[in-house]
Amino acid sequence: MASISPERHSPTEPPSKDKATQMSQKDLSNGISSLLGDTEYSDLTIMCGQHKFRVHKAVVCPRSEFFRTARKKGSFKEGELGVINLQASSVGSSDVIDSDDPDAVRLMLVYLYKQDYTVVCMDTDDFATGCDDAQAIAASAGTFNASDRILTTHAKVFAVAEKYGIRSLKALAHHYFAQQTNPTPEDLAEAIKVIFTTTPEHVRELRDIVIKYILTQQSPAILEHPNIEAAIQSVDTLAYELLKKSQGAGSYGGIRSQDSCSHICSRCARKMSKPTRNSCLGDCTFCGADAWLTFKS
Amino acid sequence: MANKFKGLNGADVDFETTWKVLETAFKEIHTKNASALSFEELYRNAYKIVLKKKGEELYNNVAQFEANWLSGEVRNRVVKQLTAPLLLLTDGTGRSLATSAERRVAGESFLRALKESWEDHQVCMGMLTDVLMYMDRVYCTDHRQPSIFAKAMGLFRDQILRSPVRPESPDLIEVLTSIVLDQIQMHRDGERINSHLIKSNVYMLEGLYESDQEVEDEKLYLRLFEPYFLQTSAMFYREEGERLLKESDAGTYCKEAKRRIEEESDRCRSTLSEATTVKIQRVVEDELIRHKIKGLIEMDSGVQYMVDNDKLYELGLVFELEARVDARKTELTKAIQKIINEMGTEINNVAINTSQAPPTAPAAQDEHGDDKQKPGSTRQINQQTVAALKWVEDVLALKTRFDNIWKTAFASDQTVHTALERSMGEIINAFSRGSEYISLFIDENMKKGIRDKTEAEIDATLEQAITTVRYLQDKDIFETYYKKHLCKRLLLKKSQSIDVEKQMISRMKIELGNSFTLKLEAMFKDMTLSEELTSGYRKHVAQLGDADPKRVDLSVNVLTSMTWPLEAFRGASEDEREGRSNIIFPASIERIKSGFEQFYSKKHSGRKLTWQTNMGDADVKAHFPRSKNGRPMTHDINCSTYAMLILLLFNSLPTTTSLTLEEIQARTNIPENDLKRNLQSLAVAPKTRFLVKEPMSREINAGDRFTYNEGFSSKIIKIKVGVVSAGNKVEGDRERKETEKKNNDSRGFAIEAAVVRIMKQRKSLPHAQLLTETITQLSTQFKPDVNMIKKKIESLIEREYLERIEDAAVPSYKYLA
Repeated sequence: MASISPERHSPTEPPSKDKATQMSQKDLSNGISSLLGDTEYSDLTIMCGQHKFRVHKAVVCPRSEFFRTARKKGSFKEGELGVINLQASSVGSSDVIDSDDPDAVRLMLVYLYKQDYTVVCMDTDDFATGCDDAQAIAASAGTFNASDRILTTHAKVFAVAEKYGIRSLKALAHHYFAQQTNPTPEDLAEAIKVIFTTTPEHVRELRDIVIKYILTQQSPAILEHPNIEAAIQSVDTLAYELLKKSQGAGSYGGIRSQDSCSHICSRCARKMSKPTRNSCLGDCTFCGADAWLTFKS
Repeated sequence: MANKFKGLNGADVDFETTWKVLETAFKEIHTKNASALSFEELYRNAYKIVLKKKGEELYNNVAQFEANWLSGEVRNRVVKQLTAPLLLLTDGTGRSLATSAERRVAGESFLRALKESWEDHQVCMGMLTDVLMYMDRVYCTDHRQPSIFAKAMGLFRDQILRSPVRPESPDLIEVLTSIVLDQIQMHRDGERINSHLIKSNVYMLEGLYESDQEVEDEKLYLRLFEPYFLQTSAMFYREEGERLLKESDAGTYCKEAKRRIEEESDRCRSTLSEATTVKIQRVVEDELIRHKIKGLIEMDSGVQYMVDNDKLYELGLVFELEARVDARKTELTKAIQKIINEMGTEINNVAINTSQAPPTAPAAQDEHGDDKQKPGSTRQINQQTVAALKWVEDVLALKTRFDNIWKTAFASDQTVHTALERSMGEIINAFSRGSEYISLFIDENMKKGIRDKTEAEIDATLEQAITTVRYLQDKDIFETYYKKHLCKRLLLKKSQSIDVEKQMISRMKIELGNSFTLKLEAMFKDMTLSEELTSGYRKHVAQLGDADPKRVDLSVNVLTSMTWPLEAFRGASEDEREGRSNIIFPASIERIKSGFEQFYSKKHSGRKLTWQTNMGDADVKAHFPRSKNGRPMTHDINCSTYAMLILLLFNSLPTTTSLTLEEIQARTNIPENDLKRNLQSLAVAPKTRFLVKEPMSREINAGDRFTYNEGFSSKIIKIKVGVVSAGNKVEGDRERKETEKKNNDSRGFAIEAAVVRIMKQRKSLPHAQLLTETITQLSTQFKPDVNMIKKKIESLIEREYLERIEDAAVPSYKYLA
């Protein structure tokens, strides 16, 4: 009875509310992280290529409408089987328009547990324990050298985040992508393909970074690199966008100018000049609502 | 470059193939065959299409697919259920062509088909929405299109509900409405229906809107169903109400109306929409109550009948019904007031008739058990007194009756209460003798009524009495009578309990205010002081050491002259007043009288005592030699002071000596009327015939002679000599006139005082305003007569308290200090 107060706090000085809140938030996120790779409570399996992830509905579904819908009982096959099979792209291929890179999917799931992801250090992957076939992981790790393709990997993570509707992961991938200031031309070329083929045209974040990066290179060498050249040629709109931007049209995208347009919040109907996103769902800078922002020029 | 062109073409080809995949899957979904489909695959395909900027094509394709599906498969399935019994419903002939059972069964299968179609559509569209999630998120939002789900709901409305069943015939929704209304009608007629089925269809109508904007008040239910429902309900209840009024009695009508209202609320809950509850109740209330309540109340079996037969439950129903539509319950209140008024007028008429009835009405005589020896006029007065008591009791019974109705049936409603009170007040004040009768009622209870009652019962009686007083407008008249009656009770010691008397006064104080009871309390104070005075005097006499055993004992009531209405004791004629002070007392009495006067003037110097000899009484010990079977006997005789004086006269005379009326009068100086009345008691009344009258007759006439009745005999030791007309009775006409006159005088003073008070404060005031203020000020005492106020103002002007302001726009007065 007497030892209620923990040793760290003298009984006369109770912790502040903020401190207590911090502690509980930390506990919560630690708790969720610790579930990564856990099979005991796992109630959903996500397959992608050779990967088989044992995950938890309670962790995955609230963050992604896709997963939430897929495991609904009584409609589709996935709900009945408890297995979601994501079509995997062939190993090492960057053509992910129709399929997902298993590594990007893995990073997405890691993120859902840890609120973060890292591209390198594949061997210490927490999901290794969750894999049914440890050799398969080893094989994929062997053929895929992630450290060579950092920019590409972030672009792929960004793409799956967009596809499966995880906004915060998109932001994080966007952040990491922008931090890569000196990518190899091969990596950049591959990233360009990923960006311009796996996300819809209106998703400007990475597109703008790439265009700006190319145009701000002092030497033209980058355009002469065969991989870059091939990449630019393979993308329908990129060449035009680059041209338009280099003419000083003042717009990276050539479609919408961020400076001369504004968004109307569907909740408070106020105009904001710097929306959080080009369109769709976003945070209104006035009412803070997670509202539909309607574009208006 | 070639690669690129190929890519473009590839995208087009891609779209067609991808769409084919989706379309096939959608068909599977619509035919409830989805469990083998992979969500991931469909999502991926839809995502791909949007990614390739074909969102619009996808959206349109899906819409087209749904439109085709609905107009083909679904519509056929629903229309097939429109079998013969239902087809003629919309043109109004259907009801007569098929039995209700046929229509019900057919209707139910139609409703079921529609319900299932709707639910299927919802489920399928839910799944399609899941698959097309990315399209909704990206394409619909960017292009301000309704979500595919909303779009598909609109398609259901347009392709199913708003399209004609077959060419040239009404839209399906009209058929639906008439089927639902038909089923509701069956339910109202007492048949069982599947309300769940209807409710499902109502859900559908509530989930659909007139346009794709989904404006809240444009729900199909509100636009296309509810108005017809309310309209047909109004028609139905209008007819039902009229039929009920014709065919059943008011009680049944109320029960039926209540049942219908509850039934409609239930129906909204179980079959239709809660949102309609208020509206349909309003319709039923309008048709069954608001438009019918007057007729209902005035029915032969209406409120009058219910009151007459104590149908409290039915009255409660009427109240409840009207309370629904009218917070003031106007019609019911009016009816009840009318009934109270009629019953009250009846009571008043009975009282008036009795008071004017010939005194010898035999029935009344038996009933009252009047003493035969009393003269005719006394008997009439007694009869009227009984009538007065009966009036008060009747009024109280009336009030109790309606209070009971009010409490039991009218939920103690405040508005109704006010109206009841007003009506009671009207009847009581409509009866001119109300004040007198109520005071008499209290008098009767104080003298006899409370004799064997418990405290609680006494309390109830007092409360009843106060209740009636509360209604009186002319409280000043009541005060006059009450004072008069109280005076007699106190002085003649008729009151059962001084405590109860005091309780009554304190109740009046609460009810009518301090000023009202001031004089009444003073009377009690006089009585207490007198008791102290008497005992003080006795002590004083004892100290004198004059222990004469034959000394006459004296108890005195000293009454403040302005407080006590001494005229209550005064005999008939005015001129007796001066005679009283000159009564000749025998020496023994005279000695005590002057002894007390000395004692009193020592205590209170400067006060003048006036002896009210007509109000006193005396205990006399009298010897009669042959009273008890011929043996001598002493009787204790209680008689009036005058009778004592008369008897004492014979003490000093030889037994055989006689005195004439004139001699007695000369020796005592008793006023003639009082003397005659006392002699009547002493020489005529058989039980107290202490004197012998010569010649023996009923009336006392001049020249009659009286002697000591040596042969008086009685078994009773204590004999009380009856004092004629000592109790409180109804006033005779002359007395009443006098009371009225006095009352008018005192009202005159009160009015003058009020006018002066007001003018002193205001200095100048228009005539009309002065009138209203005067009336307001006096309203607690009585309702002043406007003419009287005018006269008093005139009189005040004459006496130069006021003057008219000459050049005022409206007639005004000025106060002259």
